[in-house]
Amino acid sequence: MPRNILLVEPNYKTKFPPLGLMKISSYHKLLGDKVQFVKGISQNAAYEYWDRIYVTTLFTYNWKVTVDTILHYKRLVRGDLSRLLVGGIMSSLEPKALWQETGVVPKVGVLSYPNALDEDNDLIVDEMLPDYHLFNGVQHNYTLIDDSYFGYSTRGCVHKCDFCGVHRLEPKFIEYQGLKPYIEAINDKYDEKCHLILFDNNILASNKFDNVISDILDLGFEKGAKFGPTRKMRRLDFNQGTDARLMTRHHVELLAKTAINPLRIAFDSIRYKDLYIKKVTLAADYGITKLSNYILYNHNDTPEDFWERLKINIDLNSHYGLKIYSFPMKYIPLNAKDRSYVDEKNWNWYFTRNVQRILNVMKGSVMTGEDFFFRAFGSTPEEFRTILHMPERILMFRSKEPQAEELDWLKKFNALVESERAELISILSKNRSKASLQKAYTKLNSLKLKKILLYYLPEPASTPLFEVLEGDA
Amino acid sequence: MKAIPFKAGMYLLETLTSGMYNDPLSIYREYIQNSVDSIDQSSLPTDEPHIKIDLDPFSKSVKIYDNGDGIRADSAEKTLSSIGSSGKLGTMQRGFRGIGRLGGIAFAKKVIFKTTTKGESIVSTQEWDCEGLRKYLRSPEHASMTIEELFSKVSVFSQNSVEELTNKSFFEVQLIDVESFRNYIFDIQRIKKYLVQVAPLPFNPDEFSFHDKIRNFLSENVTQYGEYRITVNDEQLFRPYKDELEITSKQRNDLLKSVELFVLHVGDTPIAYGWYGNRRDLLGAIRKGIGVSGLRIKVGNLQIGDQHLLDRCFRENRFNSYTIGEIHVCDQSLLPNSRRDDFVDNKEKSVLYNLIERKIGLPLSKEIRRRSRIQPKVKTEATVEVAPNDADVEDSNKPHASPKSTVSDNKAESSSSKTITITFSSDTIEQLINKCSDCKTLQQILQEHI
Repeated sequence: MPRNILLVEPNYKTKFPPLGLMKISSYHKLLGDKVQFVKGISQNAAYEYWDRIYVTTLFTYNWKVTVDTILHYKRLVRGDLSRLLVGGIMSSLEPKALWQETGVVPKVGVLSYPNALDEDNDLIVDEMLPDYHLFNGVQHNYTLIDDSYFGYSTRGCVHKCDFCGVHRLEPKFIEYQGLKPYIEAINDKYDEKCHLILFDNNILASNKFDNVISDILDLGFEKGAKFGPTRKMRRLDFNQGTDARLMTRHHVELLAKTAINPLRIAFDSIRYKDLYIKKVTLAADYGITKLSNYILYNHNDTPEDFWERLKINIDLNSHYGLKIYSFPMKYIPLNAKDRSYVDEKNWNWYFTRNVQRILNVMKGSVMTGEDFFFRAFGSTPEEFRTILHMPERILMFRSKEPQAEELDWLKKFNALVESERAELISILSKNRSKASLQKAYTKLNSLKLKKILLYYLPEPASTPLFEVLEGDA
Repeated sequence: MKAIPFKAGMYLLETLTSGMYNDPLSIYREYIQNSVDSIDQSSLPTDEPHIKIDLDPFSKSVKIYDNGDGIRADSAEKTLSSIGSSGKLGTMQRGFRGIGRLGGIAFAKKVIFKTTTKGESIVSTQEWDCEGLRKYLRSPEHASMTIEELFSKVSVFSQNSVEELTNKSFFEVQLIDVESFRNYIFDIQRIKKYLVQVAPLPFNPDEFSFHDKIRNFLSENVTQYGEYRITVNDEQLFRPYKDELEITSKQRNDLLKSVELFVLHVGDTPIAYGWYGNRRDLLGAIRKGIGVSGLRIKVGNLQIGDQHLLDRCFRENRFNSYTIGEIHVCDQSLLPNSRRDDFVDNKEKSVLYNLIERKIGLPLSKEIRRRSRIQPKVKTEATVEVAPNDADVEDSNKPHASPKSTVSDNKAESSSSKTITITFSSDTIEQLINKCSDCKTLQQILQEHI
């Protein structure tokens, strides 16, 4: 009898569709089962009988929404845990903690072996084609799904970096995984797609790199390739980035033949400055001009070297006529249950908050041009540090030229000695709500600090008080 | 007349294992019961008594460990090989049939018992091949096997010397390759929720103000009463009682104002001691999920049955779920049945149930009924319409109004008929009704509205 299958992705924000669920969907459809997908907690699903409910998981910092979703569907199967399967990245990284909080024993790792879900067939879920029809008629739309292939040409990674979960999720490095039959099968079953997004964790570590590139070229992703009647530029994207340490001239030479856009190179530490510049220059030599760059901060770095890494990209852009987009990424430990982590050595909550505020204005990426960069992040590391102290309402609404309020704030800020700046930051980091900041303000003795703190308080309450203080001074 | 030789066939063992417990969680209770008995017997109480349950769902194993007396090397084989003969009856111990330890056999591929006692370095081990056992039970060609033959085929006893353990005593059960219907057996949330209701645990002193009062009362009077340190994956468990009660409707939480202690006597002989909580509002049933609703029966501080066992002692079944409390039975003639979901049928049992109905169930039902007569009308706001010049109601209310009540004048100026909205706490209403029983207007309102 066909089974009724529900696939659930908790209601966290994601750009990419849940590839694991797409494969599980194909698996069940192949067996003749009926499959439905929902995002988050769906009341519509409550009055149907589900033979099985799958809940996927992603980042550990989405802990609460994920746990709540699992507990909801646990009630839906009336506690019958043989009908509830939980898996995915968070499940694989923190299986014990997730079990202790939900009572559900999650599946750990990739379903790359037979009998992972059922005893009575030898299908391997990980080898299924993703079900591109899974989201039809679902409100939550994954915009990339219509025009992109998703896949892997390798699995795993050769490194075991402490900040990365890949060596735990995919412990075995697989140097080559036939991309061609996979894409051709998608073409047969679904439509041809314009772009190719590959989630390889460390493509340059593969000794079969040449074969991978030759597959990609055969699949029609050569440099300048266009797609469909609209002649749209095709894009190849090794989404997880390439490792500058392993990048050779040969790699770049081959990549330059493809439609790679952007070429992602990580720049996680200022230690790799020379190496990074060398590899970007190499890419530029071969005519790869569109690059993208994850810049890890809040992890064994300083605000100054973070700024310097951004600035290096700006310089490379103007020097070689490149377009390197920097994507600053705040480091969050792999087991963190929310996003609040701060690397206290050189950062503090207020600084990380202000980086986020700057990025919000630019929707996450750093612009490639000089002028805007200097205005947003400061033209020196010292200026950047000052900007990290700025009150939100000045920071967010800076125009091209500084306005009166900014200049006033700056005057007061420059008058503070180092210890006073530290105290200001400590007050701001400890009092994250407006109400508690207001309280801290009332308790404060130093008039100098009180005056500058007014800029951080909500405006209506602070304005008259501010004038009174000004008059007194 | 020639005696017919008695034969106990192997299927008896099936009855005692998979046939015994319909809820896989019961096995945790059975092992805890054996552990507390062993701890109580302990003649050398040097370490803090402790029962440790460790679940590892990833290796599918369960370990239940206690540091009670354990079993001496020279009697271990005999004790572990006896089924259904325990020697505990009449010794004030909780278990007495000698079958509880077989519970795990139905849910595991292998069960290992390990034990040693103080002053010896010998660890005795009995290993059960549960999968093999199930194969024998399923195979027709072995159908005539006796229980002894089967036992000797699927269990192995061994002893070995471990010098470091000379000063330790313990009993440990290991269940290996555990599986159960619906995977309940590893649902740690469910296990904890079950054990906090069933196991002989202490109250949580931080959450329940009446813990001292009740514990002193019970431990002074009930010989078998005991509280034990039990951990599940290193988290200590407590009985779930709290001062604050979540209730099923969406109204505010209720509070326990006090607890009532009571004794149930047959003639001059006390047969049970107990307590129940006095709720502030008594609005609606207590939410089931928190594991405190219902008057519960305990023997040796281990629960018998579930929260519904005493439903029929109340005027309406549902009234039991308004109630919070425990009855600790101390009469030796009241024997828990082997599933511990009720007592063995006998005269004493019906005496007990009748006593509970008369002394506890009915008085509580009456109080719930009385309060619910008042409450539905005042649970939100009581709106009373009065004529403009008739200030009687307002005046007669005012002197008795408690500070909690709020009296607000709605459309005092514009409307010709004045609406007064009065929000009462149930205490106020009760006082009002008692003190103003001779007020005509109030009686009229009560008749019309309540």
